Amino acid sequence: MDIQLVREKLERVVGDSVEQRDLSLKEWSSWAKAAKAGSEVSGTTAVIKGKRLFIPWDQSEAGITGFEMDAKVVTESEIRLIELVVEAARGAGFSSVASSPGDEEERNTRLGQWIQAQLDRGLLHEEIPDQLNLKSRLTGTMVPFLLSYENRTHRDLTYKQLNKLLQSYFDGDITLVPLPGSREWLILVGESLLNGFKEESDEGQDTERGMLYDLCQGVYELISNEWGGTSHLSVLDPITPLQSLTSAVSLLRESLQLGRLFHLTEHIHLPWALYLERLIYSIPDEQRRQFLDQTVPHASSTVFTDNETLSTLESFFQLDCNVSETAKRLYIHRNTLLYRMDKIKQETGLDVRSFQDAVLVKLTLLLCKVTKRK
Amino acid sequence: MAGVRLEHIYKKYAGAEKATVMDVNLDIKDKEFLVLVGPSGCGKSTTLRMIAGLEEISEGKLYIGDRVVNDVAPKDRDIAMVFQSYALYPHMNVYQNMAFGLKLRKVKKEEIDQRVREAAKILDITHLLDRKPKALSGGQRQRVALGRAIVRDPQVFLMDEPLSNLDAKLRGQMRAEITKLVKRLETTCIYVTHDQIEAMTMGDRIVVMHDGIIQQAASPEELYNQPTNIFVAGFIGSPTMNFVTGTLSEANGAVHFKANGLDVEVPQGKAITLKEKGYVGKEVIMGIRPEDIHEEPVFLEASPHTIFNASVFLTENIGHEMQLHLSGVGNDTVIARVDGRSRTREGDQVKLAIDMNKIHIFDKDSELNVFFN
Repeated sequence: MDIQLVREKLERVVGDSVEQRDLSLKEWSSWAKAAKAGSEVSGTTAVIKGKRLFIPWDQSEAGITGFEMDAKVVTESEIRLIELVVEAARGAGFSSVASSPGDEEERNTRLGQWIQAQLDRGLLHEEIPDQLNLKSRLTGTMVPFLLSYENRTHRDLTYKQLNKLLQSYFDGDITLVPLPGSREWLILVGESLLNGFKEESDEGQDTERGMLYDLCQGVYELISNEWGGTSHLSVLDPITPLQSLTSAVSLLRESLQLGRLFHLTEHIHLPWALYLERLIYSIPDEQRRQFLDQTVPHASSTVFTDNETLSTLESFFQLDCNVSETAKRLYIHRNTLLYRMDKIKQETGLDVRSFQDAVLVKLTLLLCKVTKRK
Repeated sequence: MAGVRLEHIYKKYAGAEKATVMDVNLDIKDKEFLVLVGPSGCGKSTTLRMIAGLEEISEGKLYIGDRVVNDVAPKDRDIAMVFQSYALYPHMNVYQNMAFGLKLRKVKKEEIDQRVREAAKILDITHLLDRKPKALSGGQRQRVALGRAIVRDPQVFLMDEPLSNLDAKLRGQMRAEITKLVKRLETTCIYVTHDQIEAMTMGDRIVVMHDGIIQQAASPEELYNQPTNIFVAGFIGSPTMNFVTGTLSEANGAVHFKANGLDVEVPQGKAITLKEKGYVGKEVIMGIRPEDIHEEPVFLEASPHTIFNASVFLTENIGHEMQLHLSGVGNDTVIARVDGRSRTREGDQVKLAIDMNKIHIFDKDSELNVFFN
């Protein structure tokens, strides 16, 4: 969670001003000394010096960042509660912040291997084991992204490069998990990323999903503009990683696979936009072919293999069968589009302007894609 | 700032029968505004993406300045891109969106602030700096995307249909603004569009592409007046150039172009070229721009050997001009662009004359312009 957001929330809870403060290590040591004799001070403990209370948030080589407030406005037990809340909001304790990047990469790689092992065994709902030492970091709800990246010209991405880029993009609050095979990366981002957005929006899940799409698009462009290569992304609604990380990765992978199979030119593949594709993919090949032969005998005609017709139909369906919008998107005159549709009708007997026929053509297009590849 | 040079560039996708981009040679000068234009699938975006480093170059060499950049990652090419989708980062406000590229490159905070505020001022978006992208209109988002590119102060700007998502009015405004902006920044700019009006109004030089091949690279005027082949002639200009297939013949020392409903005399200068190149007696394609067909009595009187009769089956009055759709000439519809005050109406039989000094003759097989090849 963003430090500024936590500060604002603390301020609202205690009803008094809370400041963000950066302490040098020397200053921190003076605060720690001033703490009550006999009490144990760690990098996560709140300390009182004189009339001021300091609650640590983040630690670096330069010192400690935290929140400072008037000690009088909170009781002893409230201080303990604030400590707990801050620790939870931080998502990861100081152990992870203070640990070296190498440790972090190793630990996250182990998590990736564990996820893969669970997937291989078909165990989708196992809880992350304690020995991975990641439980503190993966508390609360998080947004999982899956990135698949390939670059034939330049070297592959390293953990360090990608982590740095994504930390900047998501403003620090991420866990990057390399999945075995070095081409896939799981990115876990605190749900707080969406908080500001939710507060500003009354439009519910659709808008939140729109935001998730835009975030993916941003990551896609960022990676392309930095390193080139080909990347594909998928994202899910927020999950509780401790219980559902493996099933989330499974769904993300499935979305990437389906998206890349059915929508060759796209790079963002969202599970909630691939329901029909998932259904089609689950149909055995023989039945797919049977359906094509029986229902749309013309499916093998050039209509469904001609690039111009395919791009016309895809745009038409993407734009909810809106003729004017499709013509605009394709930079053609409306009459040209109507002419193309009449041609399709002439050759297949299906008029995509009628709902029934549009459904059939849509299914046919999807089936053609998947049967052609077999 | 720097120029960009493409030497025998090819792009072939794995499994594809044919290359998407073939033998592209271009020398784009420092500070030049070059427009790549052509229909969908002509290879213009692929060419731009290769320059950007987003697509691998299958063959050939790409230079930015004096450096070969084929194997240089996009971030190290010192370019800035603006695309149609202008995917702004949704969780960042306008300021953060514009500053992000610089932050990644570890530019000092003070300098980032200065550059962002300067760019915002140029683009007139200072008042939007605290807003998130979703609170912006399409035009404002596009300005932010431009701002993101400007703050980078790159050697080359690459723009791929940056105005396509805007409505017609805004597109017109932004077109002029981008042109002014690029001139002001004195940066090399490569701009991809399918829109010939954008191409003609913005570019110092236009490259017309078709089927992955450069058809012609020339100034807007040259492209319009001296198209190298039928494709370029038909692509540039709206309404498009009329094409009439007919035969060239010689009678009484004059060369005539004869087609269905048409027998017109070719001016001396052009006739000499046609004779020299051996086109007399052969079937050719004549290209006539709609504005080179006249109905004014004065013109008809002065050009008695280029008069023809036609039926008007449709008129389109746009106000300042009227387009007459004619039948009875050649095998297809011929369009004439006449004065908006013309009294000609649908169903009329009209007498018109062609300004033969402006015609183009194309070889029927090679489709090349006989006068410019």
